[in-house]
Amino acid sequence: MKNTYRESFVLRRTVVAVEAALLAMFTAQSAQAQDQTVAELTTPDKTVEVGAIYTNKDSYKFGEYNGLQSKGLHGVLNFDLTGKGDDDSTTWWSVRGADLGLDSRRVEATGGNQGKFNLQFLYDELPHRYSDSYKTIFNGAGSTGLTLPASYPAVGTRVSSTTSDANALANWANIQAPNAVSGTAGGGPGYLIPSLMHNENIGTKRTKLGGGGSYFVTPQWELSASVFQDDKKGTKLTGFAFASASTAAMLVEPINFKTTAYNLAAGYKGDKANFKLAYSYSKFQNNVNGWTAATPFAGGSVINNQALLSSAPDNEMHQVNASGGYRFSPTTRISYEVIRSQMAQDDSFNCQSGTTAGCITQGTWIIPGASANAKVVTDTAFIKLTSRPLSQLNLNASYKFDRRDNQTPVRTYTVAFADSSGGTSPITNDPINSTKNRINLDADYAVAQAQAIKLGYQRENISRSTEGNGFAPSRTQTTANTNDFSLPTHRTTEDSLTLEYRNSIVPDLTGRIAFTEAKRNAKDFANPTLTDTTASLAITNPYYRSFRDFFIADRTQEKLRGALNYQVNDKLGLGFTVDHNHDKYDDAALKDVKSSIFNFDLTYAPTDNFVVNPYYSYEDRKTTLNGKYITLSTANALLNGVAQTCSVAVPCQLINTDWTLAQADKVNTLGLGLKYKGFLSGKLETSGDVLYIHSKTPVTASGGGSLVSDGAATPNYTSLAAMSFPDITSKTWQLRLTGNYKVDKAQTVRVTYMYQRLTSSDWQYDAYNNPVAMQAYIGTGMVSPNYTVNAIGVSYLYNFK
Amino acid sequence: MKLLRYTGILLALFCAAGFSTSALADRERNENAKDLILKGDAKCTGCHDEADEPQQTMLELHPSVLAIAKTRHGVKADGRNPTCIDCHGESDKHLNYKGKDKPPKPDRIFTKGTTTPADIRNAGCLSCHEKDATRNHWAGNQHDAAGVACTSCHQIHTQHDKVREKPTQAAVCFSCHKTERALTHRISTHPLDAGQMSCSDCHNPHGSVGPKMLVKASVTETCYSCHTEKRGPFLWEHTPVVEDCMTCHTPHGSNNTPLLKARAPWLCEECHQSTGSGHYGYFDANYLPGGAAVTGANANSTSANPVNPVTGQKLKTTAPNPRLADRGCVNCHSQIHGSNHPAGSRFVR
Repeated sequence: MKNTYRESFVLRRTVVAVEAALLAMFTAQSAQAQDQTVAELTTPDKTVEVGAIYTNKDSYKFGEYNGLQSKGLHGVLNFDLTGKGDDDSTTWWSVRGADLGLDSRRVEATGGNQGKFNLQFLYDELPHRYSDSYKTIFNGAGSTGLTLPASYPAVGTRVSSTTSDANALANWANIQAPNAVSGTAGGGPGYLIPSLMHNENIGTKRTKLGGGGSYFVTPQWELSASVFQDDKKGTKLTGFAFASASTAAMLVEPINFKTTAYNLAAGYKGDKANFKLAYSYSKFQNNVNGWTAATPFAGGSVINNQALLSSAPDNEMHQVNASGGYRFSPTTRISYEVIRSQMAQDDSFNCQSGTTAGCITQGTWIIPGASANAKVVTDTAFIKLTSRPLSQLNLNASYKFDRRDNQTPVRTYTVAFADSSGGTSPITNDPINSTKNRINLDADYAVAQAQAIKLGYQRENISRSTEGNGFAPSRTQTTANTNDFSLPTHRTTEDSLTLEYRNSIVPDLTGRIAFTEAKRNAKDFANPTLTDTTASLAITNPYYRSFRDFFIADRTQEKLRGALNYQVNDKLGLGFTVDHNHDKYDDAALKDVKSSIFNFDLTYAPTDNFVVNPYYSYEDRKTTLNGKYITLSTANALLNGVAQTCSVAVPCQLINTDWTLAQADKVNTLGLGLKYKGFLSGKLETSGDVLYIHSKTPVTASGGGSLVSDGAATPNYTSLAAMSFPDITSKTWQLRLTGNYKVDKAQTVRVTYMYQRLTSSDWQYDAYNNPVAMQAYIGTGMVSPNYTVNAIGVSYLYNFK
Repeated sequence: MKLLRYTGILLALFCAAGFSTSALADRERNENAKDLILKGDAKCTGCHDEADEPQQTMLELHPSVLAIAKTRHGVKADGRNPTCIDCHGESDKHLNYKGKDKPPKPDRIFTKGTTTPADIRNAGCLSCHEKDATRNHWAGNQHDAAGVACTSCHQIHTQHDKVREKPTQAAVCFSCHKTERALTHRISTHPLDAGQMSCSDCHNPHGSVGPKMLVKASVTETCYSCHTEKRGPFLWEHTPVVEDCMTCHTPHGSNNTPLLKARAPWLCEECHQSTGSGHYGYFDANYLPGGAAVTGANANSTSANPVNPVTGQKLKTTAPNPRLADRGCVNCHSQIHGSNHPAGSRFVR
């Protein structure tokens, strides 16, 4: 028994010991498991993704911004490393990289001691592919000097004679040569130019590099500073007029910009008040001071037989910004901001050497200084008061003042148009100033539970003035002694009233509708002078005298905004929005701009693992211009067979009926988003987007078209019926699929597939595909983009803590 | 003996399991449960719904809430960071509920379908973030007036807040701004769809002094942030350019490259229209290659325009109009944003 007892005791002791050990172990394990779970849920994730993506075709349009413009294999490398200190630490940091295998790569790092300081760093590349179908006859794309091929006729041999058929085909002032099949004596442009065209890819790449940080001197005071540099290099297309507007080509401009921005700020934040004082300095540096292109047309009228384009000037901006806010009470607050900016540039003029070296006096040119010495000062002041005097009533009042003071010296430049070696004309610059005052008043009142009405009023006054000789609207053509493109001195006043109603009586059904009507009145508009009665008599027609630049003309604007959202149940939601805008002009060539956009959305989520979101948008936009075709005759003429009595002293105005030209944009966008994460016992998560966009841009002409003369000694002008353009169309199909297969907690395999197809038709390029389709404009050979690209990618993701 | 031992072990396992369970329950009921992330969060993370789901802790019901620890709101040692109740309210009814059914919800709910008014939801955020000058213009701005809450856009309990991530931000904005969603798929766009640009590069959704909540005080200054070469000031200015880029451009997307509201030459003619054809003139499809105005009677009537000896076709005095091709007027007036060339008054230099 004793033994038995002892054995029993031993057993009991053993059992108790085992139980105690197991208890301790399980308790510890349970606590440990819980701690592990908590740690998993609370420790920042770190991820590294490595793989490759293959695209099956070259396409600049497909790869416009995404770095996938070339056929072939591209690397996939992304990472996200985020961490923080232990519970007693306020240290945190994050280093992230995206698209490192492509030239759209980005690396950013942030970190610091929260509440004490933080630092940031950024490196970012952004490509922009513009065209891979552009063609040119020039060599040296990307350089500052575009030259003609060695086989191109020397400028001295290029003549503009039309005295015989053969000469006409070698007329370098009129390169149009329909169906020319061979060179004539000296090589005709209609044959040579197409044969010398070669392809150049056009695009730029931005590289941004910078960093900064902030430091809390006290919990209330923070100092911050940053520096960023943005480089942009590559090429773009720029139109170039040689000698006059009648000879031109689209050329390759070299781009080499550098913008550096410095920012300093000191901020205070208290319980009721805050304040921030900031200073910014931004410097733009263009490493291309100017660039030239040899004239490809008949020589003799262009300085140095080349055209020189002045690229964007180096410039800088200083800005001081003071802003703040104060809370008078829990329901009343004021905020303000005052900004002064000064933009200036004194980049040396870049013009060609003529008979006298340098730009100051170039041949017969007279340039009054070495640079424009341009300076513009802008001021902005803004103040806003918001208050809730009643629980149902929100009030909001604000005032904004903007002033643009252009302090550029007003001087007269005696120059010839477009590097022409012909006669010069004096022209005076006309710096533009403006002052704007805007007042906003809004009241938002909850008329009942979940129902509110908002009433808003805004008045904006704008005054514009010029420092120079005043304006000369381009259509007067009265004198060269003004800048054709500057504006009349004038004022506009615009009042707008908004009424909005919001309703969410039923929690699952919410909606809003808002209507705004604005009226703008233009005052002190200086109408064109009437001194020119011979060169362009038609401008004396009262019809044209009343034309005003549309953005300062009298206007009535209507806006309607509506939205309705209905959450049918936990699984199904519906949404509808409408944006309608209508601008009506009383005395501008632009008569009417109307747009309506409707958006329908549906979200269906039958389970937590499955979401589908189809949507549809339709836009209908139309811009309508009105005009009248008027031509002059100083010799007796016939208009549609009816004799007109005309003379030099009393020319005839031959007037066709009114015409209307409307450009519309009709766009259907159909999309579908899908997400499902229930495959393979939840290990496979899939998502996809399908998109179809059908876009049509009809340009419709109606009414009277042109008057065309038969060229006879007593010309007969006949009306051509207005003719509409072919529709500009594009269709895009886009499919993006992603599958993430979770191998285990740490490892995922990702497969992506992209299909994108674009078919487009744009007569503005396609109809001019022949580079010698026009008399004096060398075409680009460009065509509207069309492509089909498939891209498939596989990558491995490793997730860790 | 072995049997006894195995029985003992099984019993021990059973007891240990029981002890363990009861220990967990004790811990859950413990009013002084340990904070997991934020100061005082045990009040929420340590509780469980005893009424109908006695084993389900906050950890099991809503594990994702703990992801706040992965964010800067979850830096525990930063005394400025909020606790659960700073955002969700004291929620006494929720915490002290003793009934058998589900307890009332916390005071402030941020999930979809919430009935908590936006200003109440925002109060928690603004109690800290409104002190910052960068949110001075929140009150009364378009988002505030429309009843948008901070959490309509921001996700607090997640490591990656979608609206603060460049590739995913636009999708958040597009959940309301559906028109802009459609526009960004046009043939001419900024690189939003490519994820290389975000809405907040141009807009400050928290309010600003600029129109349409732009990040700068004016449209032009906002655009100059990236397009610095167009800042000038130029010797020769084009008024709509210095006044408002959107006189000609539409920033979210267009059928007309580059982001134009309409096509040249008609876009230019909205201001620069005159009579006849040619400069500021009338253009219809008769002026396209092969059009009646090009091949009309007058076109080849003069002796100065003889025939092509090879093809026999007559050369024309009237050519297809280059003002319709490619970029329209800008084929020659390429410096339309301003020129610094002494002879650049007409923006061809």
